Formats: sequence, C-alpha cells, structure tokens
Amino acid sequence: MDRKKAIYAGLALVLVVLIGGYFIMSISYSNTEIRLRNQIAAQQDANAVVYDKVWKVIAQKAQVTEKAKDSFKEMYVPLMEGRYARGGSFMKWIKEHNPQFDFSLFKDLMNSIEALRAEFANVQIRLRDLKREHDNLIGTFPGSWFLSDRKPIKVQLVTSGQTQKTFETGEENEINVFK
Amino acid sequence: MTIWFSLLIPLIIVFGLLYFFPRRIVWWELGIPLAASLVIISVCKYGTEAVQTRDTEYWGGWLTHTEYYEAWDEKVSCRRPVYRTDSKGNSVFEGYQHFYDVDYHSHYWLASDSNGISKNISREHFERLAVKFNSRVFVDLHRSYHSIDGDKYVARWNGQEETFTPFASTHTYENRVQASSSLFNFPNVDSKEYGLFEYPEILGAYTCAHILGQGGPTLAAAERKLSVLNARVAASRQGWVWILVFNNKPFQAGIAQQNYWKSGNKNELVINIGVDSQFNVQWCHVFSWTDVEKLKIDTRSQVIEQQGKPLDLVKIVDWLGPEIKKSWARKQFADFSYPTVEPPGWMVALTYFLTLIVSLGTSAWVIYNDFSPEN
Repeated sequence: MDRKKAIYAGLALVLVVLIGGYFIMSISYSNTEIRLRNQIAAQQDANAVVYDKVWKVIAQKAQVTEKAKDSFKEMYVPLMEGRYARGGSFMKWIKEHNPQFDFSLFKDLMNSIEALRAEFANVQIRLRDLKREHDNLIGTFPGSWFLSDRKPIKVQLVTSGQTQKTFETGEENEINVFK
Repeated sequence: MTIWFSLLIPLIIVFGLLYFFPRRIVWWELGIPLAASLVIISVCKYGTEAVQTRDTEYWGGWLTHTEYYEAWDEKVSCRRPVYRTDSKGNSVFEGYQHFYDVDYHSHYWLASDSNGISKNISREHFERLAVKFNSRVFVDLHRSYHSIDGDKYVARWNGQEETFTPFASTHTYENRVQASSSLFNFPNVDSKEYGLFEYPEILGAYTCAHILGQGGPTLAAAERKLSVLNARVAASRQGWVWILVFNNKPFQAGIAQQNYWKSGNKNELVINIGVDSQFNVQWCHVFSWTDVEKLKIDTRSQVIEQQGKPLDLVKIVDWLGPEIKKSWARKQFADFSYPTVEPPGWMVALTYFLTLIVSLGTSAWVIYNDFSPEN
C-alpha cells in the first residue's frame, strides 16, 4: 500500500466510523428524549388522577366519620337523658356501661390524609425527577449537541398559595399549626 | 457518555499507522485496535455501571428439607496421545491410547428452602436438623459408579409449627437510584454519628437477626415471631420487615438510618423505634420504598400507641402479620429505570488510559507481525 492510498484509506475509515457513530448516537439520543418526554406527559396525567383520588378518599372518609359522630350523638344524648331521668339508683351501673365513641375512625382518617398526601408528594417528586433527567439529557454534552432543537418541558407541580408565598418571600411566618 | 469518546484514540492511532507504516499493514489489521478498544470501553462502561447499581436484598422462606449426599466415584473416559521416536530422533505422533480416569466426588450436605434455594451446611448441622425433623429417608440415586456407590439421605420438615425453621437468603438486584443524581436518592451519612445499623450477616447458612438493637424483655419472643412472619407472610408477598431499636437516640437517628440505608431495599419495610434506658418507647420512624403509604403511617401509629410505655415488640409483630398480608406491595424498581448512571471521573480517566495502552499495543503488533501487503 503506498502512502497516498494509505492516507485515503485512513481518512475513509475515520469518516465511516465518525459518520456511523454520529448516526447511531443521534438515533439513540432522540429515542431517549422522546421516551422521557412521553413519560413526563404520562406522569403529569397520572398526577392529576392521584390528586383526584386524594381528595375523593379524604372527603368521603371525612363524611363517613362525620356521619358516625352524628349517629353516635343521636344515640348517646337520648340514652343518657333517659337513664338520668330515672334517678340515682342505677348511677353506678350506668357509669360502667356508658357507650364509648370509637375514635378509630378519626385515627384512620388522620392516617389516610397523611398517607395520601405522601403518595401525592411522591408522584410530584417523580414528575420533577423525570424533568431533571430530561433537562440533563438536552443540556449536557454530547446530548446538547444531538438534541439542540429540543426544548425543556414545563411540568405543573401542585403546591399551596402559602408555599408559593413562602418561597417568593423567603420567609416562613405562619408557624402556628392551630391558627 | 463521554466515555465513548475514547474511541477517538484508536481512530487517530489507525490514521497514524496508515501514514507512517503503510507498507507494514494489511487492510483487515486496521480493525484490530478499534475492536480491542471497543471491548475495553464496553467492559469499563457496563462493568462499572453493574457495580454501581448492584444492591442486595433479603428473601424469606422456610427450610423444607436437608440432604446428605454420600461420596462416590465414577469412571470417565480419557485419551492420551502416543508418540514414537523415529530414526532421526524426532517425535512422531502415532495416535491415541484410550484409558479411563476415576473421578472422586466428595460428600456434602445441603439445606433447601421453600424458594428452591439450597445452601451447603456442615455434617453436624444436617444431623441436628434430621433429629429436629425426626426424619431421615434413604434415597438410592442409582449412580453408575466405579467402586464407591454414593446415595443420599433426606430429612424433610415434618410440618409441625415448633420445628418450623425460617430460611433467609440474599439476592442481588439493580438499584439505579443509589448510583444516580435522582431526587429519590439519599445523602451519604456517617454511620458513627448515631450508631446506625448495618445490614446483618446471614449466619449458619440461613439464619439472620430480624430485630436489630436492644429491644428489652420482649425481644427474643418477637424475634422468633418476626422471623416466621418474614418467612411466611412477607415471603409470599415479596416483602421483608426489619425492626431497628435505638437506645437513647434522638428521632434524627431514624432519619439518618433512612439516609444510610437509602430507604432500604425494594422489598423492605423498616420500623425504627427509639427507646430510653428503661425500654420505654420515645419515637417511631417507618420507611420503605412501597407505594402503600398507609401501611407505613398505620405502622407508626401502632408503635406510637406505646409511647411512654415499655416497648412490646410482640404486640407490634402480631399486629404486623395481618396488615402485611392485607396491604403490602413492594416497589417495582422498573419505575426507576430512567435515571442515568454515569461512571465516576476516575473510571472515565482510567478507560481513556487503558484504551490508549490497548490501541498502542495492538498497533505495535500490527506493525511487527508477518502480515504485510507483500507477504
């Protein structure tokens, strides 16, 4: 092989490898970006479903608990009035057999609120994490080179006005939990 | 991804080969530095990623049977080349002479669990289990032996509750979160700060502690109950429960433990309980990857009911059994297949260095071997 031919052959080899590598990496990066984009869109929809579940479960459990409280009140007040109206001879016996309100419904409601809130927080973190992955993909080299035409995705995170105000001002003033 | 750019090294070297040594190389030799570099880069990239994402979880099960395989031997065919020396003193191959060898297989003892996992145990261990199960059945293996006929003895669990033997084993799985910059990852913490717990070792082939720390008077009974729970209920629902008892440690110890264990393995529910020196419950922190948040909250509520009272671990484990059976579902780590895992900087540098060495080495071979356009 003479030198001139060898140089041409070398250049051809380098070009083939570089063009082939570029082509394969372009496809790979594009597919990864599209998969992430679709995953983010799906997670955004899933978050709405989870949020809907959070409120429906909490609201309905609260309704059941309220109804149980009212039912107990309806049963308890006349019962006590009736017993006390009879006089004091059965007082000791009545005291020992007073019906007790079952607070487990309130405890269950409280636990459900915390659990569902945690579940919703998890899916929101996952959504933000997917966005982080997408931002890294299109923003860091060599992804930024292959995906220069792709834009960051906007995601909708649900927080409260209180949280937004706190983060805007950088001050957390309302710390009284019973206010 | 930057690791793949090290492929430019062999490309430059190949170009140099063509420029400086065009008469010493043939076309197919150009692929050798490229292929060798590709192998090195792939091994470094995927090998590192496998190590970074590898994690170990515990599986529960119960000992179903134990076996004693007797020693035995067998004939295995073999052939040896035969040579003769000719008149000039050269060695000439004549053919093969057929013989047989005797392979000796040593005796061994195995313990097997309900998941089909077997582990080697000692002879004494086998004997203890055979007595415990009150079982020892001879099984003729009908081996084609040479002079020692080895068969086996099997001792099966007799199904009685008092001889039920939990069997713990460890398995590896891919955990990309721990090696990524995902928001779900946890910060590294110093285990000494709060005297945090390490995962316990499996002793005697299949035994491990399920309650870590000093749990007070109910510890022994609860340990047995929790090991049975992990073997039966948790195993059937792909779960595992740890109870960690922190003596005279603040609530932050529970949070630090979660960071230290990176929220545990994918199948774990970890209950952290803080007690004072009289084993009175002070705090509780429950963590797990499970999406069933209510189980974690309910578990914490159950423990907190004992706040200020002596820790009753048996009561907690008794409550856990039906709850785990009813609502436990482990996290599917396929949900975390998206985080990118990058090799550490030193590994990238090492890959570039190894690629350079391999490219130069193979290029030297290409230059100095006997293949050339003229030959």
